[in-house]
Amino acid sequence: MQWTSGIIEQLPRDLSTIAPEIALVITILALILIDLLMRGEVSFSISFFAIIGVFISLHLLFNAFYNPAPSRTAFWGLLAVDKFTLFLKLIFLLSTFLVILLTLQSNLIYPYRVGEYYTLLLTATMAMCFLVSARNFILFYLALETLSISSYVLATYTKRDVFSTEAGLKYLIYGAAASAVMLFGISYLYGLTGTLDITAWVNVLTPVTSLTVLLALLLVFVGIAFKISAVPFHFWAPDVYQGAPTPITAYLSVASKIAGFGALFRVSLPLFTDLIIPGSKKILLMLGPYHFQFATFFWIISVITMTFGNLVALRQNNLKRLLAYSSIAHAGYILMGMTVLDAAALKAMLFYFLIYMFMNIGAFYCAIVLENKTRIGDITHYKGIVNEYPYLVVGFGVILFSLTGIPPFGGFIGKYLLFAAVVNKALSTPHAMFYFSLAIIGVLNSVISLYYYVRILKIMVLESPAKKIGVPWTPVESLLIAIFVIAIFYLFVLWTQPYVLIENVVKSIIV
Amino acid sequence: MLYDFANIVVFLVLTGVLVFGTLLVGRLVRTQKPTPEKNTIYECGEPPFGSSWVRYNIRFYNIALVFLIFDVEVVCLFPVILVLQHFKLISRTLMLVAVGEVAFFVVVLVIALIYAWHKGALDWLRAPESPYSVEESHNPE
Repeated sequence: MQWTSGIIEQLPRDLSTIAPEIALVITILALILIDLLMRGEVSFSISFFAIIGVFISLHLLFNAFYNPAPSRTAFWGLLAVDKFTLFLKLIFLLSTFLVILLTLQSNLIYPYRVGEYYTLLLTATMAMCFLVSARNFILFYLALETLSISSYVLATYTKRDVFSTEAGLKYLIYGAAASAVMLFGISYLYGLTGTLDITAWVNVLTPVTSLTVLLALLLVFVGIAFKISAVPFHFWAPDVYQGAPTPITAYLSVASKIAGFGALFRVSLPLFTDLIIPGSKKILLMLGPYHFQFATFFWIISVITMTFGNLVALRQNNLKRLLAYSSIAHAGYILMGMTVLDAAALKAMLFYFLIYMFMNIGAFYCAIVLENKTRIGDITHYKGIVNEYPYLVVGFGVILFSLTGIPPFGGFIGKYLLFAAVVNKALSTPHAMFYFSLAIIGVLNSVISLYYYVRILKIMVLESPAKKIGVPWTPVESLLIAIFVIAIFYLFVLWTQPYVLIENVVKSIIV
Repeated sequence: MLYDFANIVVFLVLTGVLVFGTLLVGRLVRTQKPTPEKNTIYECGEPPFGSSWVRYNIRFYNIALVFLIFDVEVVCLFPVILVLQHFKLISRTLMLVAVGEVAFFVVVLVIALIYAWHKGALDWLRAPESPYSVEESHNPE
């Protein structure tokens, strides 16, 4: 009973470090009760309470950010409470807020069943917050499953729609398989290390056991790769993204994917060599011979993912399916940073998350507006839509060019930082060609992606319209599109502001 | 290291031999006198009828899920009660904190139960459709 000593003193401090999550849990419980107590049309009030909950959580998060906890772990090392975790949580909460705004605009979410919808959405957000801060495999797996199960239900939320049902079923089956494989890997790691610490695998990475450790890590990676939809674990993504209600698609493609990357960072943090202070030379010594193997592994996954995503996206006609393949390709770009495995790459990836959140949720917002106006998801039906909805097409154009990574938009900075990290690494290692080739493949992929992004705009702008749609444009739509466009320009012009924040964040996890 | 894998190989081979070997021996040794009675599906001695591919009523799953609420509650409360005795010896505050945590856990489960009750998961005979189902079936692509 040694651990009980000091528990009374420690408990309030530990609980205060998870204040944002506690706020979310209380919001979830309140939402269920409000939904039960109020009858009839509750759509607006429930969304209102959900937004308030997210804002309280954000407020507590900022509090924690500017008054950092004295210790970097809480609950006897179960949770990491550093700024790095807080930054990822910030992205989750912001994207949840944006997704709630999208939900209010979408026709797909029926007004009388929103209680469950917001409950599940916030549950998934809460699970993500725990997932990226977990330092223990049990908590890690529990958070991952909570996230997954909420996402399965959300994907099949419009249950009378056959595509949505298909999406939920496919997601469930793939997800169950991936998480079983991951659990198997975790059991190996536990057997090898004798502890559930998430980074303990470094200590057993000796020539004798390396094969087993690497195999176990590969199995754990399967579960994570499923979340980030990296090829070859991407098969669920196109169907689920197409079938799920569009706000949920935006949520899965942004928040869930970034949560997957957050989990990947937690497991692979010892690989980022310049985040380890000289004092712990032991880790470097152990990783030494294997470091390049990890880089090669991520090189292969990254190249396959981005090339596959971009090539298949060329042939897509359904807008949501196209954006699904585009988001697979973006996972590939972000994985380039995992090949480099240094602090610069980590910063680049974190910045990419920030801009990717605005770009991708913005793109799905445009998809929602188009869905509401035309009731069709096929881009060949959007001919000449610019005549009726000029703001939409201009805003969508900005978002799509930003997704490509063309200069006056924020996506350029995200890609620039990633490529700069790769090229810098190439200049400073003996494996120059290894990294240069990755950069070249990445640039070529960006060129390919330009084609299918611009093709949407070409159909919308240059082709003559078939007939008038006649659904009026509303000021709320202008406002929401303006939010995304302004965010994208802001991140291009004033990108140093968030970047300074990110530098601060990465500094906080140097071990 | 590699020698350790030999154990696994031997184990795999033995597994195969045991499974397929017994089946093979059974095939060689047993008598085969099939009758129509023997060839029917075993259904606890009853003569089988109908297709076995019937749909189970979805309500069974509902009830099972509601049952889980109580089941998980009990399973999770047992260890806490055992630890509480130790806590009581150490300090009273500690015990009260633990009781508070357990109370919160129970409150969450009670909310889940209220939810299930309110949504009609406990009614075996349920009103067939919600008044909104017409709106719901009218679904844009």
